[in-house]
Amino acid sequence: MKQRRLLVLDNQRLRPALHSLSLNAAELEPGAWAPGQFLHVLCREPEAHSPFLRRAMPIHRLDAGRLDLLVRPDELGHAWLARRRAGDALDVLGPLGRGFDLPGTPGHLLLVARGLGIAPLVGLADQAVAHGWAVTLLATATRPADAYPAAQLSPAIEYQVCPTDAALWDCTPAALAWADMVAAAVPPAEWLPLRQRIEAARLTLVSGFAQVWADVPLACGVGRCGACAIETTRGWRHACSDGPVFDLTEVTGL
Amino acid sequence: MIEPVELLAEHKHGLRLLSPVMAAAGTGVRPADAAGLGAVVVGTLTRRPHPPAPLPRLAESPAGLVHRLHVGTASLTQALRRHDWATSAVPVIVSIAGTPADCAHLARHLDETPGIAGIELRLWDRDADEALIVVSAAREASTLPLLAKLSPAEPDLLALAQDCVDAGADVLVIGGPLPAEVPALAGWLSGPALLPLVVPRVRQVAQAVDAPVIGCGGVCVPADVRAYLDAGAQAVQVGSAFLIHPFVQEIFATYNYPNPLKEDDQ
Repeated sequence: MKQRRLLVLDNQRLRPALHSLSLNAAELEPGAWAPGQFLHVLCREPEAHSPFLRRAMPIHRLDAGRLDLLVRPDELGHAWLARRRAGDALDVLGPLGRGFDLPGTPGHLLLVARGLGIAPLVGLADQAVAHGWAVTLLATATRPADAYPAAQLSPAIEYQVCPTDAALWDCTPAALAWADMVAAAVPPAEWLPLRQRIEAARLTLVSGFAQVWADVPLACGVGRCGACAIETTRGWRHACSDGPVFDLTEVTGL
Repeated sequence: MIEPVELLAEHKHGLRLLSPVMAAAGTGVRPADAAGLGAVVVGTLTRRPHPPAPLPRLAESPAGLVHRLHVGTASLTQALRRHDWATSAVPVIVSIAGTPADCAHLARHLDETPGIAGIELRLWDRDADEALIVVSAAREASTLPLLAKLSPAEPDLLALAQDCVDAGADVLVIGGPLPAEVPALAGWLSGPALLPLVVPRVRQVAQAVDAPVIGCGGVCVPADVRAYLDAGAQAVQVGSAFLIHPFVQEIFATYNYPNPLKEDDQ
């Protein structure tokens, strides 16, 4: 729940509508975060009243005291964020939430991202590569000019951009067959199809095999208000504080 | 120096707030995280738990949000199982909702539960006739201080406020979200957009009815507290500001709010 003021170091425009905002994270201990966690960012002047709510920004990357956020200026809050410049201060809560669990024994990791869902997966890809995993990243971009630039990724990561969601799912069955673990950042409506594809490719979905990053609208971010409640096998849970990463076997009521 | 506010000096139990700034019902603030607040309203509790509303549950609107957050609430049994009310240094008021029979049942149980400073009846989404029956039922079931939370949108607010006091309410809370709609959903409007709407209603009630009044709606900064106190409220409840700052009470802690009762004496 820690509230901080983090300074913007750099605002890099990766694509016409895609920014990488680097923050000074020297005060964050390197081990104090996991890929999949997020910062809850106030995207307005503190005295202003709109847009009212904080924005949950997945930690895109964190290394050497720099924390990167991936920003697409497609709504008021994100547009405000994309206009920040070096030296501006951001009011943030976090890192918040439960991130991805990467098993100790390396193998093949399959990452599936729809649109900006790639943001929380890149940090996981970096960590997996560092621990000896073979990583494949499947992502979508409706126009090539919107795609996440391959140059931002470690050359060790196999990266494939699909033009449509349908094409994304066409790519997955083969990849699912060899994967030892799957992490997906796709909307909740896609969780059941993902589960069915895994069961088709591997006969059964075992706990620990697939984790999903729940992109559910958040309000408080700290497990109080109930806005992001999702149904799980353990009852109603908060995507913000019990997630945003959940095991795919755990989420129900889709 | 922030001074405590005694709302009910004549009441058997009294209702002493540590400061005029309370956490409103529905914020999810636990008493353990409430240090610095005058009191915390927990819940809203119902007799049986309700599942959360289907998605989408919220959408932003200018200076606020439209939401369906306050419907998915815990039952009294669930809340009692994990509560830390008895050991709380900050007074705990429990918000309840339901049929008159449910509210009587809940009020009776709360009456026997240690560590509770008062019961708040969530009446802002009820019609006036229902609201009065709930007040009477809760009054019969409990001797704890009873707070009636009424909607500033109620057309005949002054009459309802007086009737609630006559039916046994000790304190009037004027506020709570207003019915609203945006393209994504129909629900309730909360946030700073409410402040200029609720303040005049608080003033009307405070002038017309002989009972302590608490204002609730849009409080984000100390000047907003001042606006309610100047309108005749003795305290305020903070709701949506907790969505932005989990410890928003720190913003109010350094501000001096002279006790309005003492000001009257000057």
